[in-house]
Amino acid sequence: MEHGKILNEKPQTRNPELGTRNRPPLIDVQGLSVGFRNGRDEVVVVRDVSFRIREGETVALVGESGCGKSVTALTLARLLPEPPAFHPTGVIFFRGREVLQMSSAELRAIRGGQIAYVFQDPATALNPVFRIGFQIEEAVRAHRHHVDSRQEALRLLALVGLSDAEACLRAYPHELSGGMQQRIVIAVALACRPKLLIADEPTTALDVTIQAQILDLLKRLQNELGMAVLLITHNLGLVADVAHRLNVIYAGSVVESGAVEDVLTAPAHPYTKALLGVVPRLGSTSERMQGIKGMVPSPSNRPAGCPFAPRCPRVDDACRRTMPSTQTAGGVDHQVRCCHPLKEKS
Amino acid sequence: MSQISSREPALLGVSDLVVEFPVEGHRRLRAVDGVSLTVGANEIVGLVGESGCGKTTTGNAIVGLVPATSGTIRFDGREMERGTAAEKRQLCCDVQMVFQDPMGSLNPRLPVGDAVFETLTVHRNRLGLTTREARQSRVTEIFDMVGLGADFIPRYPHELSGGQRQRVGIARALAVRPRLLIADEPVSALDVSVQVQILNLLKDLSQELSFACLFIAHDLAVVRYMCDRTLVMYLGEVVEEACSDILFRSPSHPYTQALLSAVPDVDKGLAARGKASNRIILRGEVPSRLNPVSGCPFHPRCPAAVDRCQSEKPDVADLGEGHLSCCHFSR
Repeated sequence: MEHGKILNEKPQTRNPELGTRNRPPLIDVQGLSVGFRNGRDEVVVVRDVSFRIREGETVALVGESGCGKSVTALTLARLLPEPPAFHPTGVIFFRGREVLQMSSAELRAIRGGQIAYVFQDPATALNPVFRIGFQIEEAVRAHRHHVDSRQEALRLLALVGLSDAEACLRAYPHELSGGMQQRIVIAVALACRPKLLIADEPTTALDVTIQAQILDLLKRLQNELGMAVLLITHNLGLVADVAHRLNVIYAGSVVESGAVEDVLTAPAHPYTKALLGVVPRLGSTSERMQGIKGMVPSPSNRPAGCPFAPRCPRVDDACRRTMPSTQTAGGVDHQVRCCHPLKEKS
Repeated sequence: MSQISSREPALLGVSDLVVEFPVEGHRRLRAVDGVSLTVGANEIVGLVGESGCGKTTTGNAIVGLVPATSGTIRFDGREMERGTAAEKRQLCCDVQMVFQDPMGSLNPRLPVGDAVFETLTVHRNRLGLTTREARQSRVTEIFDMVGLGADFIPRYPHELSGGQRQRVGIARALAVRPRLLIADEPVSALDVSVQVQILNLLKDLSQELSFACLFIAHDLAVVRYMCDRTLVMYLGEVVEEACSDILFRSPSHPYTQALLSAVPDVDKGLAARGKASNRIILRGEVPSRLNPVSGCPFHPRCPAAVDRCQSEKPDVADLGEGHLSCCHFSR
C-alpha cells in the first residue's frame, strides 16, 4: 500500500487540531493583490490579502459572492490566465519557495502535484468525453512515473469510498450521480498526494445528505494523508464543522482571521458579526434576523476607506477616509482589520 | 396525510396527488406519489427534501404547470381541474408563483415594470384595473412595497442584482393580489445577506397582504425560519409533517433525523468541536425513480431498517398535535 507508506513517513495525529499551531507554514501569503484588465478598465479584485496555512490544517476562506475568494484560491497555483489578470503583487511562499517567481516548468510541477483543486461543480470539472478511468490515470501519470496508473486509480477509488471501482473506471461522467462525480474529482485531486488541497465550494452543488458524506470523506482523508485543506465557502455552518482557522474576506480584503472558535464566538469585525446574524440556524426560534443593509460593492466601485464602511453600523469619518490596518483582537492569532473592532463577546 | 387543518376549511387542499412523466421505453416515472397536503389561510407551509424528491413538481402541479395524473387539488373548496374557463382564470389570479432563478423567469428584453404591468393587463377586469393609469399606479405601488422604488420600473433584468430581480419576481406575483403564493426555492440562488432580506420581505408581506404561502426549499434552516408548518418529502412521498417547532426539535422519521443531522449549522458545529462526530451519515444515494422501491421508500438507506420495512409500506402514524410520520417505528 503506497498510501500506507506515506502514513509511516510522518507522525500521524488522529486529531489534526492538536499540534497544528506549532507546525511550519506550508503556504504563506503576504500582501497578495490580484487585478484584471477589462478593456481600458483596471480592476483590483483582491487587495493586500495575507494568510498562512500550516501542514495538516484546514483553513476556511469565507465571504459572499464577488468578494475574491475564488480569485485568491486560483492565484495560489497561478491558475489565472495573464492577461486578463495582472501579474499578482505580494509574495506567496509555498514550502519556502516563491510561487510568483516560478518558471512555467516549476509551476507545472506544483500544480496538481503539490497543490490540487476541487471545484464546486463536479459536472464541469470532469471532461464529458473521456471515461473516468482515463481521467484519473492521466492525473497519476502526469506527476508520478513508475507507478502502475491502473492500480493506482483503483486504489484511489477505494480511498474515496466508491465500491464498484472497475465499473466506475469504465463509466463516463454523465453516468454517475453528482455525489459520485464529486468523489471522482476528489480522487483526481488526490492522485498525486498533494500537500495542499484547495476545495472551492466543494459541496454547494450537492444535497445535504451527500454533502455530509463528502465532508466526512474529506475529514477522513485529511487525517489519513496529513494534507492541508483550504476550504472556500460561504457557509459558516460548514466552517464551524470542519475548519481549524478562518479568514473572513470582504470586498477583496481579509477583514478578520483567527481560530474558528474565537472568530465565531467573539467576532471582532462588524461584518463577521453581521454575517453570523444572517445565517439561519436550525435551533433558532422564530426570532427575526436583521439583514445587512446595502450590497457588497463591486470590485470596480469600492469605497476609498474601509470597504465595509457604507454598510457598517459603527462607521465614522476615519473609516471612510483610510483603509484600517490589521490589529490583534483578543485570542491567539486572532486578527481584525477594523478601526473600531467589537470588544464584547457576542 | 394532512389532518391538521380539518377543523377549519383549508385554502389549499391537495389529496393523493400523483404526477407521472412518460420516459423512453414506454415507461412512466412517478415523480410525485400520493402527496396530500393542506395550506390554511395566512399559513406559511414549508415543503423540504433533497433534489429529485418531487417538491418542485408538486408545486408545479398545484398551479397547473404540469398535469396531475391523479388526485385532487382543491382551492377554497373548489376543485381546480373541474372549473369553467373563467373560474380557471380566476384561479390564475388567486394562486401565483415565485421561481428560483429570477433571471430565467424574467424576460430579458422586457423592462421589469412592463413584466409586472403585463400580468395586471391580463387580469385587469378581475382586479378592477381597467384603465392604463390605474395599472401603472398599481405597478408603482407594488414596486414600492417590495422595496424597489419607482426608478427601477424602466430597467431591464440584467441591470439588477440577484436580490433585486427576486424582488421583481415577488412584485409580479403579488401585483394581482393572490391568496396563495407558491414560492419555489426563492432564495437558494442568493447570498446569505440578501437571502435574509428576501425572507423578511416575504414574511412581512404575507402578514400585511394576508396571503398564504407554500414555501418549497431544500435548506432546512431557511424553512425553520420561515414556516409555521413543515412537510418533509422523500422519493415523491411526504414522510413527515408537523408544525416547525416540533419537527425541528423532535423529528420522528429516520430520514428527517438524518437530514437534520446532516445540515452544517454554526451552533451545532461549535458545540461539537473537539468531540467525536455524532452525525448520521446516510449510506448511498437516493434511488432512481424508474425502479420503484418495495415497502418503505427510505428502507435502502435507513439506519434503523428491519425486514418488515422492505416488504410492508408503513402507514401514517399520528403522533398528536398534527405531527404525522410515515414510519413503522414512529409512535
